[in-house]
Formats: sequence, C-alpha cells, structure tokens
Amino acid sequence: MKPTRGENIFQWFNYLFLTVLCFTFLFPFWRIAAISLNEGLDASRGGINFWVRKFTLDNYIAVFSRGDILNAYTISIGRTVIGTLLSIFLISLMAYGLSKNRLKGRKLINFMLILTLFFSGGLIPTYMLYKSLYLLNSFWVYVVPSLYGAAAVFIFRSFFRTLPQELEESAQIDGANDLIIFARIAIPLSMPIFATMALFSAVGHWNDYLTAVIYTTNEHLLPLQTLLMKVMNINQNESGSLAFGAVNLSDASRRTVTAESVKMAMLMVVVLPILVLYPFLQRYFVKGMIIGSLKG
Amino acid sequence: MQSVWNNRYLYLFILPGIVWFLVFCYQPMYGVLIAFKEYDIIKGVFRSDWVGLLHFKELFGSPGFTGLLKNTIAISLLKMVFGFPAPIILALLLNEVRSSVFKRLAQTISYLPFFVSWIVITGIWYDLFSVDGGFINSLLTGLGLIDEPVFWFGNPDYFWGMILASDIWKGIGFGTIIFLAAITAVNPELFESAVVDGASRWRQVWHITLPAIRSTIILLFILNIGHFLDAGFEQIYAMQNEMVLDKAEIIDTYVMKVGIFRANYELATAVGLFKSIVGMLLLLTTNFIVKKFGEDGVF
Repeated sequence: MKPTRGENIFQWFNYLFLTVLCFTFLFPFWRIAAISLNEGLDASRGGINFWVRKFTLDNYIAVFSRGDILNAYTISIGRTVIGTLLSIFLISLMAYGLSKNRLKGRKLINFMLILTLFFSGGLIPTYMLYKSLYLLNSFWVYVVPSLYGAAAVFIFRSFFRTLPQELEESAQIDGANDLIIFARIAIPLSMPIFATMALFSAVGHWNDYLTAVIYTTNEHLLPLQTLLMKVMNINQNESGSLAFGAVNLSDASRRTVTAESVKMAMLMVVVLPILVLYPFLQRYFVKGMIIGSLKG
Repeated sequence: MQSVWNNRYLYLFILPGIVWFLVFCYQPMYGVLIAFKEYDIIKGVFRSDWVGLLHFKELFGSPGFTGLLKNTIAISLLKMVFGFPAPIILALLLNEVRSSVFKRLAQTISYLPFFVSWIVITGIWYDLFSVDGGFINSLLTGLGLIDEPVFWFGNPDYFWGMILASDIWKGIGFGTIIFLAAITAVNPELFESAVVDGASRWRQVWHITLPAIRSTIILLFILNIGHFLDAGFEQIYAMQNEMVLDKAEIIDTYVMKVGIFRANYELATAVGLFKSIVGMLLLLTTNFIVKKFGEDGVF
C-alpha cells in the first residue's frame, strides 16, 4: 500500500527528530574531548564546540602528574575486577543450587530473597553494620556488600532452569557430583548470561561513587568517580574540595593549562574505558536486558 | 537425611549466600529498631532504652521536614509524569523507522549515557550549561532567545527541571529496550489484517501496538512506584549544591547528611523507615488497584 502524504511527512519528522536526539547524546562527549585536547588558555576564550583549535596533550600530562589519579585508577580497577569475579561466581553458585527441585527449603529461601527486593533497613542501620564489621575505611566495603543481589540470583536461576536436564542426568550416572556438573556442564552452556551479568556488575562497580562518599574518609581509598567528584568541586558543601593549584606547572610548555581544561581531561580519563569498550559490549547488555525482563 | 547428604554440594552452593543475605539484608532490618530508641553505643541496639515515637515526633515537627518531603514528592512526580512515558514514546518512534541500519544505529547511540556515571554526567552538564562559555547559553543567546547567560545550575527555580531533563537524557534510550522487545513480539499478521481493513498507522499504534505492551507498562509502573520516594539519590547528590539546596534536598540526601556526617543515627533511621513504609504501602496499593482492574500484578 502506498503511504499517504501525512505518513510521509511523519516519516521525515521522525528521522529528523531521532537524528537531533542522537546528536544530543554524542555531542557533549565530543565537545569535552575537544576541549581536553586543546590548550587551556586558548579554550577559555570560548568557541570550542566541535574541533580542536590548538592541539596539546598538556592537560592529560597535568592529570597524570597527580599522584592520586594513579592510586584511584588502581582502586577502581581492583574493585571492578575482584568485585565482579567474586560476585558472579557466588551468585551463579547460589542460583544453580536454587534451580534444583531436589533442594529442600527452596521456598523459604525464595521468600527470604524476594523480601529484600521490597524492604531494606535503610542507610543508617547499614552504616552501623559496616562499622561493626570493620568495613568502614576498608577496600572491602566496595566488594563484600555488593556480592549478592536477589534480582541477579533470580535471573541466573531462570537461565539455569532452561538447561537440558538429560546432560546432567547422564553425568550423574557417570558418577559426577554437583560441583563437577556445575563447572563442566552448567557454566559452559551459560556463557551468554555470565557475560551479560558480569558486564552489568563491572559497569556498576566502575560507576559507583557514593559508596566512597558514605563509608570512607580515607583519601587513599577513593575510586576514580569519587576523586573526579572532588576535583570537579561537585557537591562541595559536605565533602570538601581538592584544589587544582597543586598541579605542577614548572614546565614552560604547560603554562597554557587551566583548571577548566584539566577538569575536562580528567572527565575523559574517567569515562574513556566505557567509551572505548561500549561499541563492543553494548549488544550483551541488550541481550541480557531482554533475557532478564522476559524470564525474570 | 540421606537426600541432604546426597545433595550436599547444592547446600554448600547456597550456604554463603544465605549467610550474606542474613547479615547484609536482615541484620539492618533489625537495626531499624533504633528509630524507636535512645541509641547508646555501649549498650548496643538491643539494650538501648525505648523512647517510643519520640524521633518521629521530632521529625514531623521540624520545620525542614515539609520542604524535604515537598522536594522529594515533586521530583518523583515530575519523573513519573514526564520521565516514565518518555522511553515508551521513543520506542514507538523507533518502531516506525523503516531503515533497519538507521534504527540500530539510533538505538546504540541512545543507550550510551546510561552506562556513564552520574558524576561524569554532572560534569558534562555543568560544562554544557555553564554561565561562562557554556554551549547552551551561547546557543540561546545566539538565537536571541535570552539576553544574557542563565545560571542554570545555580538558580533554585531551574533545579527540578535540570534534574528531570538529565534523568530523561540518561535513561531514555536504555528504557526503550524492554518496550521494543515487547513490540517486536507482536504477531505481524495483526498489522497486516489492520492494513487490509484500511487502518492508518496511527490507528494501528493505538489499537495494536499499545495494547500489546500494556502489561509491560503496568509491570514497570508498579515496580517504579515502590521506589517513589527515592527520587534519585545518586543523581541528586551529584547535582545539588549550596545555592539550590532549598529545592534540592531530598529524603535520602538528608538522611546521609544528618545520620552519617552529623551522626544523629536515631533521627536519620526514623526518616529512612518512614520512607520504606511509604514505599511499601504505595507498592501494595498500586498492585491491589491494578489487580482490581483485571491486570496482572507483581504478586
């Protein structure tokens, strides 16, 4: 059927609208990249939106000349890797156990998990718990409290339930125990869900800034996001701010660096791992969202 | 007992999880009791003295509480009225795109801000909306829409708008995934027979597509409403500042400042508990109403 005139007009407006919308998602990142690669003094004259006017890497050199940024990188990478691996391993183990009808007390545990989705003790009782567990001002506050999550257990469990039972049964006849079946049969068959859940967990770890704000006062434990918050003077009222005057400007070539241009470079440094990996990883996220929403 | 021994590995698999949930989810639920006590650090939660509803009276009587509640409800309401339908509309628009390459590209780009932290988003928006040299101000003055640059993040009147806009900007693309999946699952024969009957695109959307995703919409709505008083802790703590605090302080940010930075545990716990109970009631009520109308609830 031939589209009507009204439908054609709609199509044009729709394409135009979506193009403008996509522009608003990309442009802010592009602009910050451009400013971060431009000489700071020159950028402060304004007008840098799309292209670099005077190219320099000085802003990035200034960022990495701060000792705390490398430390924050180590913390962020460390918690992301350790937190994700431990969490995915433990959650999948628990979900595998709960996916078996042989397990007695399954219903009670189920109920115990569901309740945590709708009710929590709140911030202060949690804070007092961490205090009594010596998690305050410890690296492990980034890892241990986020090891499990009821929703993630349920998503894994519903995936494990779709695995063919015959494989497990024949392995059992061959004398394999549950540990071997889980490691040799369940894990290899579940790689898509492992990949998706690991990616979600890793992005959550990388992007979390509040845990450090609430549970640490130790500057050496700040992850990248929280350090960025302090450097950018975001929410300066409670957390105090770190001045950027400390940047070493002795080198003559770095006199063009300004606080503003270094902030932009710092933003890029924090967001770059996400931007670089994003095109490769985004399809896993989408797949996982659909698995999670349809089955969970 | 024999069956327990035969399945010993399965029990071993779930044991650390049960311990974790008891410690990290259920212990704090017990800790909520200090909202009704005069907490004594030496006596501990259990042996501290009961004070009844004292902290709640203090809370409801304090002059700041009304403002706090008003900000939280207003921001949540704005997000619900404008933020919740936004991804549904975008999904419908994307569904009308005929070029599959364009559609996939547009989707991929629109998810991007979802994977970026609120701190980075705040940095980006501070830059875009900055008073001196910000892109938005240059654009608007260039077009002659405003005479001089506006201090977008420093004026309390604009704060709710900035929160709503940045929330939609960050989440709209990712939110479409679930609706597009539901739309794709619609039987194409329905559309074909509608075309034969001479139904316009608009009528097809109204009579086929929207009813098809109705249950998804309702499910997400119920799940959202349980978090009504959250209002977006991570986002608002990142974006608030001294200048706009009158409009920017919400329950969660207040609990953190009073409870942790100023160590008034009992009052902050009372506020948190109030929030939890309201959220629970909203969830149960909505679920009940939805079921009355013959839809599937969450439980």
